[in-house]
Formats: sequence, C-alpha cells, structure tokens
Amino acid sequence: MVNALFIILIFPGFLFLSVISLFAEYFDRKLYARLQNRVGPPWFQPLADFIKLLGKEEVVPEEADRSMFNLAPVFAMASTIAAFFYIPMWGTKAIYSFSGDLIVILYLLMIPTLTFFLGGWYSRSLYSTIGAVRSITQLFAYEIPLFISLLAPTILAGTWSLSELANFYTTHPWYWLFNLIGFGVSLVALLGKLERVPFDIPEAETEIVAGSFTEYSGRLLAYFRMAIDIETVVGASLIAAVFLPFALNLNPVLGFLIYLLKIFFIIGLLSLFRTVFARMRIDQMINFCWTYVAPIAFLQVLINLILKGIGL
Amino acid sequence: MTVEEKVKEQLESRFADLKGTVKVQRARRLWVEVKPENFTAVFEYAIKDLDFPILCTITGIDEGANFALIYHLAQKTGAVLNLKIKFDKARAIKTISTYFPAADIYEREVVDLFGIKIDGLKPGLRYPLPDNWPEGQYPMRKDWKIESLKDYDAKFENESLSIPIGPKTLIKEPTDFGFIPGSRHEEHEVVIPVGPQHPALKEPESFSVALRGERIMGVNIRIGYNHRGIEKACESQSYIQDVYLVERICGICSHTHSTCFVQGVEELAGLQVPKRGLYIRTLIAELERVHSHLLWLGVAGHEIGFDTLLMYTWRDRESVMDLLTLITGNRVNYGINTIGGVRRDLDATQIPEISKVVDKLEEQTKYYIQVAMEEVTLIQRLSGVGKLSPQDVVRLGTLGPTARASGLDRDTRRDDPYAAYGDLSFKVITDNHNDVYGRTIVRLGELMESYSMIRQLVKNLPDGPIAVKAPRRIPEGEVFSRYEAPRGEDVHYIKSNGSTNPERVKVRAPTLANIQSVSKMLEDRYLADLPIVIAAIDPCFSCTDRAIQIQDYTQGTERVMSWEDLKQFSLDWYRERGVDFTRLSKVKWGKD
Repeated sequence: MVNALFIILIFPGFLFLSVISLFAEYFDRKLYARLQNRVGPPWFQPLADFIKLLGKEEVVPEEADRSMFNLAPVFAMASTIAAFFYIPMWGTKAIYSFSGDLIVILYLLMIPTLTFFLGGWYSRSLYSTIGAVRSITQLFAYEIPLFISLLAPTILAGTWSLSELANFYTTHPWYWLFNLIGFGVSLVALLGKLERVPFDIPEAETEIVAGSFTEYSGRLLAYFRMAIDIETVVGASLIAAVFLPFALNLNPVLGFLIYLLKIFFIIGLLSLFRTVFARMRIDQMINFCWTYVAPIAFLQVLINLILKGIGL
Repeated sequence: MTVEEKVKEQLESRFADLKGTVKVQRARRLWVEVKPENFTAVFEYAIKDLDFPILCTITGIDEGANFALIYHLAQKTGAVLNLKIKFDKARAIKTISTYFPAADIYEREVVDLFGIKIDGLKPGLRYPLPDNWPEGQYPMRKDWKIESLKDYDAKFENESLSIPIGPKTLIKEPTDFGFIPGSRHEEHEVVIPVGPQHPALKEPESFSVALRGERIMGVNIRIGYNHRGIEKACESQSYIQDVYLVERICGICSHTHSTCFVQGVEELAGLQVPKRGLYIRTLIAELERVHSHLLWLGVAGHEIGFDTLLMYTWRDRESVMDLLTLITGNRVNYGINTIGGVRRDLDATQIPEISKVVDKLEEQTKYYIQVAMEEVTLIQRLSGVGKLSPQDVVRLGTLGPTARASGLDRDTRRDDPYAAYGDLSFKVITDNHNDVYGRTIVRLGELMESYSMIRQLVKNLPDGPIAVKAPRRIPEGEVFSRYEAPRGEDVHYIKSNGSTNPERVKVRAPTLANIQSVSKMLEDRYLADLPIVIAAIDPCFSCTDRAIQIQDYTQGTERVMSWEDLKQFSLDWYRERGVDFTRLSKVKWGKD
C-alpha cells in the first residue's frame, strides 16, 4: 500500500513526472527560442508560470457547466499520469504490465483530447466551442495513423505488451531499425495529439483566441497546462519505448540517462517542427493525415507483415 | 499636349457651361466646380470617357452658408481631377456608390461628420462616430462646439455600445455578403466576434463573422474605434503644429502623413524645397517602407502560426529602426519634416552606416524570398487565400501592394512623382497571383527595390541647404497631395484661408480604402484564413515611442537619457529581476 502510494505520488509518479515535464517544457521553449534567435526563458520559468497560475483568480463563466468545467483538467492530468506507469523507461519492465497494455495506454492518452473537447464545449463560449470541435475533428485525423504506427512494431514481437515488446527488441538488438518509417509517422501524429505547430489548429491564437482553453484561468488552466506538459513526456516516452528500444537493461543510472536522452531527442524534434512550419488549416491537416500519414503507417504494417512472413 | 490640358479641353468642349472654369493648378492637377444638378453627367463622363477609374476620396467642407463636396478622381497617368460641388445645407446629394461600391464609406463619413444628406446610401453601420453618438451632432461643422455634448455625458455612461452579437439577437433577412449585425439568422450558423479586442488584431476594429462550421458565410466590418478627431484638431492649430499632429496619425507610417501634409502646404505657399532636403525626405520614406514591410512580413508569419518568421524579420527590422534613430533622432515619429524642407542634415559619417545596414538587409531579404518560394506550409497557407480579381480591385478602389498583387500596375511614386522620386530609377513590382501569396511576393520585391533606391539616394545626394524658410501665413488656396505609403496611397486635401491655421485638412489613409475589399476576399473561405486575409492588406498598426526625458519628481530635476543610458537602464532593470542580457546586448546579428 505504502509502496504503491510512493510509486503513484513520488517516483515515478506525480512528483517525478511533474519535474521532468516542467523541465521538458523549459527545454522546448529554450530550444524554440534559440532556433528563433531569441534568448528564451530561464530554467525556472515553467515552474514560475505554474505557481503564478495556481495563485490567480479562477473565473468560471456563468453559462458554463460547472462540474464538467472543473473536472476536465483533473481528468486530463490523471489519465496521462496513469498511462505513464505502463511504459518501460530504462529497464525492459514497466512498473505495471499485462498483455495488451499498449492498447490501454493509447486509450488513456486519448482522454486528454476528450477533456479538451468537453472542457471547451461546456465553457459555452464561441471560441471554446469552435476550439473543442476542432480538437475532436483533429483527433480523427491523427489517431488512426498513431495507432497503426505504434502497433506495427508489435507485429514483429508478436505481443501487445510494452514490457514484452522491450524484451523482444533487447534480444533482437537491431530490429528496431525496421520501424523507422513508423517512428516518423508517430512523431507527426504526436504533434497532432499535443496540438503543436503545425497542428495547433484547436488553439490557434490568431483565430479563436485560445480555443478550448479560452475561458480557463487560474488553477484549472495550470492543471491543463501541466497535463499537456506531462502528455508531452508520456508521449515521448511511449515513442521511445516502442521505436527506440535499445540500451535497456544497463545499470540503472546509465539507463536513466539514456532514457532522458531519448525523450529529449524526441521533444527536440518536436520543437524543430514547431520552428520551421506554419500552422495548417484544419482541412489541410485532415487531407494531409489521410492522404500521406495514414498510408505511410499502413506501409510500415505491410513491411512488418512481410518481415514476419519471411520468418524474421 | 499634356494630359491635364487634354482633359481640360475635353471637359470644356463637352459641357458648355464649364467653359473657362476648369483650372489647371500644376502638372496633373485639375480643379473644376460643377453645379449639383449637372454633377452626375460630368462625373459619369469623367470616369467613363476621360478614364478616371480611381476615386481617391470624397472631401466634405462646411463653407458657412453651404456645404461643398470634392470628389477626387485619379487616373493611371497620375492626373487628378477634383470635382467640386457646392450646395445648400438642406439639399440631398445622390450617392455615387452605384459607380464605386467603395465610395460607400467616404459617403458615410460625410454623413456622420457633416450631416450632409446622401440619397440612395444603403443601410449599414455608421462610420466613424460611435454607435451611441447623439443625433444631430456633426463635429466637423464649423459652428459645432464640444460643449454641445455636455448634456449627453450621462447618457454615454449608461449606454453600452450596441452592436448585437450572438445568435440570440439575429433576425432573418440577410442582405448580401456583408451583413448588418442583428440581421442574420440562418440555421446552423453562429456569429463570432473578431475584435474590437482580439489576438489577431493589433488595433481596435470589429469583424463579426458568420460561420457555418469552419466556413465563413458573411463578414461585417465596423471601424472607427480609433477616431481621434485629428482633422478637426488640425483646424485649430497652426500649420507647423499640424505637421507634428498629422505625424501622429499612425505609428508606422508617420513620415508618410507628415510628408504628404508638408508637400501640400509647400505647394500652397509656392516654396521650392532644396534638392538635398527632398533627397533626405525620400531616404527616410524608403527606410520607413523597409521597416513597415519587414514588420508586415513578421505579422503575416504570426497570423498563420509561423512565429519563427516573426522573430527573424523583427530582429532585422530593429536595424532599420536604429538607423532611423541615428538619422532623425527618433525611432517612430521622426519629426524630420518641416514646411520648406527637413530639420536635420545627413552627416558624412552616417552614410557608411546606411550602406552597411542596407547590405545586410538585402542579404536577409534574399533569404526570406527563398523561404517564401520554398517553404511548403507557408505556400499552402498563403496561396489561393484572399483572392481579389483585378476587376474587383478597380471596383473596390483597392490600393498599394494589395492592388499590385492583383496585377494592377499602379504606384504613385512613378505615376505622380513627388519628393525625389522623379530622379530615381526603380521598378514597380506587380504579381498575378491575386492572393495573399502574391501580396507577400510584391512586398518582398518592393523591399529589394527600396534598397536600390536608398543606395541611389545616398550616392547622388546633392550638396546645398536642406530647407527654405516658410511663411507663417499660407496664401489662400486648396491643394491635393498624394504619397505612396507602404500600405497604399495616402492622400491629404488642404484648404487654406490665408491665415496661420488651415481651413480644412482631410486625410484618407490607405487602410480605409483597402478595408473595403476584405469582405470580398473572405467570400467562401475558412475561419483560419480570416487573420491572414485581414493582415494581408496591412492595416495600420501603432507603435510605441520611447520616453527620452526623465523627470525626477522627488528631486525636481530633469535629465535626458542617451541611447547608451537607455540600454544600460534596461539591462540593469532585467538584471535586478534575475535575467542578464549583458552578453546578448553585445552580440551583433547576421554574419559578423
């Protein structure tokens, strides 16, 4: 019981994840700034922002559905933290695992998007409503490619458990190179999931102010922002676990450092995309996902099926 | 035979009662007074047979016993025909929006400010006074006093601005694409407010957008939130004070307005500005265009979520701002113009600095051109968006880069040369994309042309005085001054009554002409295109100025902070708060 609480609240649960997420936000902002020829924030800026928001007044619109409005950010944060426990980080074994945990993670990671929708929809503001609808429209564009690309490597391993997947790729060291196409696809889909440029359509500032989050303020906004930061780290960890499953089972310190290297490499790539692209329109985004990203994800599945068929 | 003589002859031979009344003021300027009952015939003849397809603006004047309206018509040759009608205050004048749909807004302006009756004006939002402005108060009339608003003070406080927004207040009866708020109620449609305060807009304007899903079904534009009554204020101050007042119309094109005003007054006073003065004036004008276009490029990037472009261009723009500070002493409102010339000479040490900055900027601009040509998401977001056909440009009176991007070869700098533009060789950049992408290409091309012009100006800078002395009293007369601002043509009309103060100053900034085309450009587009389409006409943004005089109230002393002091002050300010920019402040941008 105490042990479980420690895992959930301290390490690698809420506290650890919060620290690393805030650092990830700093890393992203700093890198983005340096790529844009700016100075960027000091290291404590994300924490300072978080604390400041916690202290701010919370305004709930009169028209809004109070309970939905208040619960959405909490659900967003809880579901992302829950997903984290099933991802192996520096060992081949996650804290909790069972056969099929990959599917559970994918569903848990879908919940934040749903909370963006519900929170925005129940704010009853015009901007929020449009943002909410865009969130859910976008979900249909990136979610399928994300599922397919993440499930492709499991074909080779013959398991839907992440821990077993890690085991398989550790015993077959160079097999992960077959999945590089899937890696690219999942990065693009993750951009959509995290609502980042070029897919930050649901919160496009110059069109709909802040989309779903327009009416959010104070503590609730802080939770939402924290949830997005955590989602970034969890998403990066998931992709690292599925597509970069090497150098696991080393000694814990070295393994931890390599794990950090992997997720910051992925977050760095996301920042790079943010720097070099303009925001797409929702119609362009959906076209792009269905004409290019989804077929390429299927191509990865096809490759893995053929590899499996010839007896790798 | 020159253009203006030909127009004069044609007009006089066609209308017998105009014989001998058409006045040629100077090259390309014609003035004619017409009787109100003959006006329609002359107007139609002018736009159709004499080929004056551009309506610059309509000026209203209160002449005491009667009103006068001046229709300023321009043509490609640069000639301007000023048609004036005088009429009794009770008489209604027929609308010309049947010929120029864009004239709508100019007519609303005279209706609001003078109370002139216009027949056949379509119902719509008022411009430029607030919606709760009391009936029967016409501020531009000569006998109007601010005191007459006293009784309404209480009413202003209690009454909120009444633009009904949101589905509840909509009733069925859509007009055309532009709609009257409260008049629209379609199934599955929402009206969202973009403005007066909105992240996409840098100054207050209000766009009510009717949406079905993501598709824009109608747009309604309300402007005038920033109306400060500068035209009225100009009448109560002397000409030299007005130079500084009109400079503050806009924070970006401040030089535009002061030059436009000053060259009008110089023409009235018959002053010959020395060549060196004109060259310096033109140099500042082109530097202003450079900083304005770089600013636009950044804003356009931001509107489509491409903040990297914003950061890069605004970094480069700083070097132009610094250069302007170096030459004029000011960053935004340069205050370099005066009636009769300029106030500051260019010194020899500044010239190498100008060349250095221009060289660097040219290199950077080439890079941006490459980005515009190659970056996929940028091209996808810009091309095909905000289409405006050449026919619509003519019909709606669109100006500047927006018009040139639709293939219209019009540029006041070439067509109606002023300042030193007659001596310069430059190309007028046009493009046939007809969309926002075209507008980007045109502005980037104009940047390159500006660099070449700046080089020519610096190289051929003549010697001699920079200004002549101007009289305090300006001789009676009227003048129409044009200037190609970064965002399109800026025009000023100035009427003098022989005293130290002008009788009437009329300003038509380019944005007023361009905003008319926005609802056309948004037809059948998505919500996501709205910010960039609005931004693509480059509506005038305001910049802030720096305080250079610090008053120490505790000790009652004054001191002036130098550029270095200010820099040091800002570094210390941030250092106290934990951020040290000292190292960064020494870093030079670009390749060195």
